[in-house]
Amino acid sequence: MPFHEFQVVGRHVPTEREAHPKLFRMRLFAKTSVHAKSRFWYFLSKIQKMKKATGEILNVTEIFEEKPLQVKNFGIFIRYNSRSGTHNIYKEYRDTTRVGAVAQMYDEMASRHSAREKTIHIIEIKEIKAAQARRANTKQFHDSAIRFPLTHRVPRKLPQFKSTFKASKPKTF
Amino acid sequence: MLVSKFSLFVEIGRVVFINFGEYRNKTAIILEVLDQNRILVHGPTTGVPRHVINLKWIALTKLKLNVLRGARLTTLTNAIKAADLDNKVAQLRISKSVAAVEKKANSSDFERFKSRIAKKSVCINYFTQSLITTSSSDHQNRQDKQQNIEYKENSFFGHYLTNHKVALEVRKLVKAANVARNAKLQANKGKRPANKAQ
Repeated sequence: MPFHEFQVVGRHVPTEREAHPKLFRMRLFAKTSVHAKSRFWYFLSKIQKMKKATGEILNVTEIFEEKPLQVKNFGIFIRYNSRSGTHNIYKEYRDTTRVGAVAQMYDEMASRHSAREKTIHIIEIKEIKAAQARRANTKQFHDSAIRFPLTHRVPRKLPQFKSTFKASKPKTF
Repeated sequence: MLVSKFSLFVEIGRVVFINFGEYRNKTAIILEVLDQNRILVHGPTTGVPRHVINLKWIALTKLKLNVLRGARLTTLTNAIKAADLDNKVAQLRISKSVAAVEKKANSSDFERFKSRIAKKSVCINYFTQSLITTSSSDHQNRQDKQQNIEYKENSFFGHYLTNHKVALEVRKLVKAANVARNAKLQANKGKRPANKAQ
């Protein structure tokens, strides 16, 4: 299931003391709008004396990428809990969409750092210019004359053409 | 100097053949490299929309288009026209084999029947012609028969109608070839092979 970016707007329920409570808006990455709303209350209760029971959600809108066919660099600041403590880290990804970059980040955090989705807080995600990229892995693709071979080619086959045993040795280059 | 054994590279403008997924058996052009696994491709003339594809789903071709990184639709289409890329792609071995497979898959029962007959007649022609050239000593006779076969070859379907005649012809030729062989053996019977004679 792919990630989506949602904008959630919510507030404290109006009371006699406060008839016009302050509105809060949050951009969140979640797989469904239901999960987005849940995360909204999770994050809001950390910074505001408010919870689901005392608040209300006014609007949930999905945010789509403005230019989903343009390759961009994204810098993501995150905070996550490892087995021994909490860390703030910065990561860079190349992708066409913000949700794509976030999905890459969750995959990488799970594989490299054994961090679960639940314990990862995205502090900030921003599109960065090529000159602002910090990581060598990102910078190496900032080359309009980029050129590399494909080694060890194993052609993808349709299921009906797959075979366990073959008479000839595969040619992988 | 280190010489690479690789001749094809992932680079901007390289024409790729997509061999898996929705756009299987189509070609597209590399416009951007996201990372070592993924590229942005576009094939406006082949029906491949601009999208990100994994390098495991493509095969590189020897063709390369002169475009810049992230070229837009108009620029790309103009470059394709200028380079006559569609014709060049059609000339690729892989495009030809895909076209042949498609043609076979879409052929009607009658077309398959015709091709079967054509295949058979080619076999028969090959067989009869080889017999004529080896067996018949009469030059004129040989030429006549060859002409006869060429005439038949012009129509695959017509050939099917005269198939039994061809079979008869073949039978005669086989007989003649065997007679000639036996006669030769008979004539050489008492003689020693030339290289062994001392």
